[in-house]
Amino acid sequence: MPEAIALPQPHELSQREKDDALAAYLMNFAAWGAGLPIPSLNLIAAWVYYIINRKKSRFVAFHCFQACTSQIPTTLINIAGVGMFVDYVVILNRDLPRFFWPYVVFAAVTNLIYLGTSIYACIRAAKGRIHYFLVFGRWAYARYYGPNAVTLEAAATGQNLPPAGF
Amino acid sequence: MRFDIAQQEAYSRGEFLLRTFFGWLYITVPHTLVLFFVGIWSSILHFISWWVILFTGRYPASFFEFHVKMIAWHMRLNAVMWNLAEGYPAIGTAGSHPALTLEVPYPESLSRAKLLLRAFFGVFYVSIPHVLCLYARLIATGVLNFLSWWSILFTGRIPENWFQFNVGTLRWMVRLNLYMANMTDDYPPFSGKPAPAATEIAVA
Amino acid sequence: MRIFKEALLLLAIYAGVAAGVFGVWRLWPESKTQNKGGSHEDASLLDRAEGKVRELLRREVTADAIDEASVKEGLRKIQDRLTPALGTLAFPLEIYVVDSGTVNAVCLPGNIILVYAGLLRRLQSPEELAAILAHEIAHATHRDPMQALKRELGLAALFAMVGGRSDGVTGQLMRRLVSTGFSRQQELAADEEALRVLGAADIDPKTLGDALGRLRGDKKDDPGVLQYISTHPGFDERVQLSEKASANWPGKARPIDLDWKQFRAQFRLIR
Repeated sequence: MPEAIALPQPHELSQREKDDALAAYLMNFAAWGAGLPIPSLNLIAAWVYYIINRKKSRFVAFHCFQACTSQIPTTLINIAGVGMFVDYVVILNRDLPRFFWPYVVFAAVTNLIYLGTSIYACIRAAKGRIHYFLVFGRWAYARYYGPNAVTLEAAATGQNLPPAGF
Repeated sequence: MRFDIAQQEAYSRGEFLLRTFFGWLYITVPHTLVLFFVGIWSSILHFISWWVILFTGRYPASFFEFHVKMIAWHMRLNAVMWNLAEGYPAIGTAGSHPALTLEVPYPESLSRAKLLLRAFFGVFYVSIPHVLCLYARLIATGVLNFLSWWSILFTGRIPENWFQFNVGTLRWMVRLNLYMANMTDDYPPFSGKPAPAATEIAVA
Repeated sequence: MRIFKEALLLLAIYAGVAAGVFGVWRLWPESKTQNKGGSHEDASLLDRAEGKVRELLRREVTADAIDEASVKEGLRKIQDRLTPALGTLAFPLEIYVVDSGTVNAVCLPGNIILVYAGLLRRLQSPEELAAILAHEIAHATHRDPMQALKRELGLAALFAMVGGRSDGVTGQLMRRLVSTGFSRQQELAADEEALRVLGAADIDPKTLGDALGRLRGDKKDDPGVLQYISTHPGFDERVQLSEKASANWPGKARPIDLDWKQFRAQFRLIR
């Protein structure tokens, strides 16, 4: 049974790695930077950042992956909200349904919770530490540090390898 | 900061004429298309960098290198379109041009005070003065470009003074860019002259 | 596996936030979320729209309405009896009689009330007509027609009307309102207000129940004609309500000074 890969400790990480890792969580705010209020832009930016940085170091790749995947639920909620708005107001040309405003509040609250967690994870990454998100933390750890962790080169170059565990 | 374009002694007139009449199509259009999308990424990184500097006082190293390459790309495109250099300018941040050198020292720490100053008042104490001067300079550059075109056509080279002046314009733009992009804390001088050689020999 | 436990926890967090938000929304004091008058922004848009609609309707309605001076005078007498007891109205009340055998009365936006000749012929006294009118006027007082219109046609059509763009809408509008009617809640609220107005105007509230009874008709009636009953549900309940109001009414009935037989005889034509 292959061993899990040891987690690097803060003193073993270079400044560049810490910078790259913290930037992964800041991709949450990408939409603000680009000036385009599209809900999925954050997810796309996080994904692009992941693609660019996954070869660099395991620590960075872990954080990029976690930041990218943990975006997904929030993005879905936002897309549903914007979709509802477009559907009712633009396409059907009717009033917004009465539950729309409570939904906006719900989306705002969940967004804030997620952003708060992101900022916290960002600060931890800047110091070379790790904060594990619910579900996505385990997934990212299993992928990069677990017994069946991917090798960075293969993940980047797309070579064929036997399935994990063989 | 070092920005230089090596002056070439002879121009290929064929390529020169092709560039004159069709350069907008086969050079500018492809570059602009790609630059648009990479530009979105660049503005995202700019935005994030601003906040990172605010909180940590450092410009993230990877982003810094990316932006230096972006500036090099823009300058590459300009250099070729202004007939300061030849050869199809490479598209993308990974590209480079043999005649063009851009070296920007990585700032170990940046002043947060200046960051905020730039953000709120940059328009007044940086943009307006420099843009006014550059406006005049760009007119002069345009005239020299025009004259250079005839010079290349008939003599195959640009007189050195004209060449250095145009490179200086680009150098000025680079310095202004670097300052407003929070990549350096040195206020851009109102000139396109290269920094004196003595200071380039930095003591490690 | 721990990852599933975490997934459940994540879902629980989302569900918790959703429950909290929707719970607060539902349990918030009813008067703030009920659609009595809509939001503030809605109100001014509706006012402007109602004014426009009123103009558009007036043109069409007066074309179909009976214009006889004696009819108008009779209506005026009944209206005058009710007016002192009425609440404030956004627009002046206008009552028209439509020359048709349909048994119905409807309140349109802009405080325009249509009474069909078919309905008039079935009533036995001016007080009964006053009762029916009181009910329709109550809808006007409560701004029910505009709410119903907004619900039916949506804000887009209202925008169009405020812009005065479509004229074909008006006929459609009338037909829709006449056929759709108001919600049960709105009908009951209108009844309550009508009974109050009748009482304050020295008319026995049970007159409303009597009037309703006349409109019920019998088996030999063509069902298509009896629209009043079909668009105003809860017949028995309404009659009971009027009788209860009458029992609690301390006032004294004062008849309206109108010769009903003569008034009604004008509506001989039935199409």
